[in-house]
Amino acid sequence: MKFVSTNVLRLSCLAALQAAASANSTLDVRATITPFTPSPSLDPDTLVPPTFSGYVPVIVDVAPKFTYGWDSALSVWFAKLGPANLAFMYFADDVVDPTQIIVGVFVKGGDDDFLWGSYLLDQPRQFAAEWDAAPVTDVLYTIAQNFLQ
Amino acid sequence: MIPGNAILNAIAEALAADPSTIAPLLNPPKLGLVKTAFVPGPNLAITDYTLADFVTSTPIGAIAGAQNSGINPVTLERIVEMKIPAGGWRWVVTSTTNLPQTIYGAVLYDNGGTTVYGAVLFNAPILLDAVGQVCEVDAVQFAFLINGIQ
Repeated sequence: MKFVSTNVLRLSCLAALQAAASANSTLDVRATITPFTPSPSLDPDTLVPPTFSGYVPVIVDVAPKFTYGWDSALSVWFAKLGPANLAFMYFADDVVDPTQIIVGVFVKGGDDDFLWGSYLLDQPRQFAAEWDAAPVTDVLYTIAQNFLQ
Repeated sequence: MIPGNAILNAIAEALAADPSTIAPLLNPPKLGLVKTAFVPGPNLAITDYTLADFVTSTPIGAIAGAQNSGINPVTLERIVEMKIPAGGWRWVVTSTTNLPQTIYGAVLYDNGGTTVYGAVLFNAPILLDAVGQVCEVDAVQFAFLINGIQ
């Protein structure tokens, strides 16, 4: 029989997520120019990173790597990567190949090598000139209130 | 973002082994029958229901330590399931004391009786009114909603 969980167990899951993140020395936020469909079974090794000069993965090595809570406006749980004021930016520091279009982002564990998550940018970001930039904000999970039934 | 399967598995495994909730090494949770109408939900509290009180209705203790986790091959849901204790989650009426009694569902709660972990309503309330009647919960499962984390 499926039991309806209480918030005690739901919070346990979110704490477990945070602990698993903390067990990694880093979580690496990487961009890709490969079109893909976000999925739990996505193979991150198929995702080609940008090759323009200046691109580097964003390394999250601060604790806690995930914060979590309840969004009362949306009535969902959330787990957000990095400290609240963390902002991500990919930018080119040289003349770049205009075919370099960042379409999405994925997060890999620095130690567990897990695919922590992936998503598509709302708008693919073309890198065609020096200092073109792609801000990446709100790397997070949105978690249904009843995700654990 | 869409989590990878490894993360989804890790969360389920962590819950199944959480010593602060359903998987303590000592004083494991208990499953009790409920004799009052109630509504399972995220904020269900001990005071929201009354446990059954027929003679053999004593709540059944879970097995201490890590519980089971896995993937339902049909629904593909990740499942955390309490290990089934010897004799099962099964209550047999042996006395007419406090009968008749209607059982509405079951609740899993901590050993000290202060924190509810989950609850289920039976498909239909079960009227117990005679010796030999049985009330049984086949499994105590928590399922992770497909696409519940995005």
